[in-house]
Amino acid sequence: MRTPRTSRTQSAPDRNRGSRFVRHANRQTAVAAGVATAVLAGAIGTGAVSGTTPTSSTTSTTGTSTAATITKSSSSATTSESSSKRAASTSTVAAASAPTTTTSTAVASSGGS
Amino acid sequence: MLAASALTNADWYLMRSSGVVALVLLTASFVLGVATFRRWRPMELPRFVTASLHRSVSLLAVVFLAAHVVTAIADPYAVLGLAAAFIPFLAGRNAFWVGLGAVSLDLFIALILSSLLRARIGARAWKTIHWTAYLSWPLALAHSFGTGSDAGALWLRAVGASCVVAVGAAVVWRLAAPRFKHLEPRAVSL
Repeated sequence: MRTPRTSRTQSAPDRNRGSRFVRHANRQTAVAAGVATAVLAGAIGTGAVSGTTPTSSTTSTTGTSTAATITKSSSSATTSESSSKRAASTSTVAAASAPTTTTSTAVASSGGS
Repeated sequence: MLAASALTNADWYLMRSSGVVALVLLTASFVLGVATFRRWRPMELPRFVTASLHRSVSLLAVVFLAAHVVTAIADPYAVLGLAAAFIPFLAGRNAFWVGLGAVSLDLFIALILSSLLRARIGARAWKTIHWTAYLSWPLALAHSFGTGSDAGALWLRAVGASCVVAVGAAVVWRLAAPRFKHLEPRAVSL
């Protein structure tokens, strides 16, 4: 005499439903996390959220004046500490690499006249 | 020029965003771990659903933690060598706060390894490591607020506060659990 299949048979739909739910939730979570990372990175990079870009990283080596570099650095004063330090670090490099002949040229030219 | 700057600092931006997402995923893993203990059944689904979600969210957190660590190592400004990512308090900048992140990472690695080796190390050792690894969450939170470039930003504070509320609610829920035998945790592999 065959025994009726009870609990095992009855729980199979539940197991399938649970497995489908887990697969769906896993996919949704992974996609959401990836999208969130990309969007947040973009928001940080474009300055849409605070504490963002080291503004003086855009320093062009064509800028000859140290004062101009300092102005750029101070414009990032509202950012967080790390951003400021990072910006200051970059501007220091920019200042060091900037030509220093501007002032001396002016003096020389004024002396010449 | 702006685009060039964005590309130059892409690893920095990715480091920060992946760190935040990893923190959120760690929080979700924490809460789901408590829910597994409480045998929570969302929408009357089978109990294994919660455990499976706990496991998969934890593994997803590993992926984003790896992205966070790799980009941190690649970022020259962070002055974080490969060793400092895993050995606490060796970083050249913000050694203490970065060290907390390293401890958190180590605990998470121990959690994963112990779960992979659960059959060999036994349930008791596995459970001890598993519960100890829950410390990785507060350490990660302190790390993000102590050293993050966005530590003072309102949006990050909001994210952190949400994580604290979620974990706090889960802990209260856990402590309110009746101490019945049927609520004892089963071994859930990661």
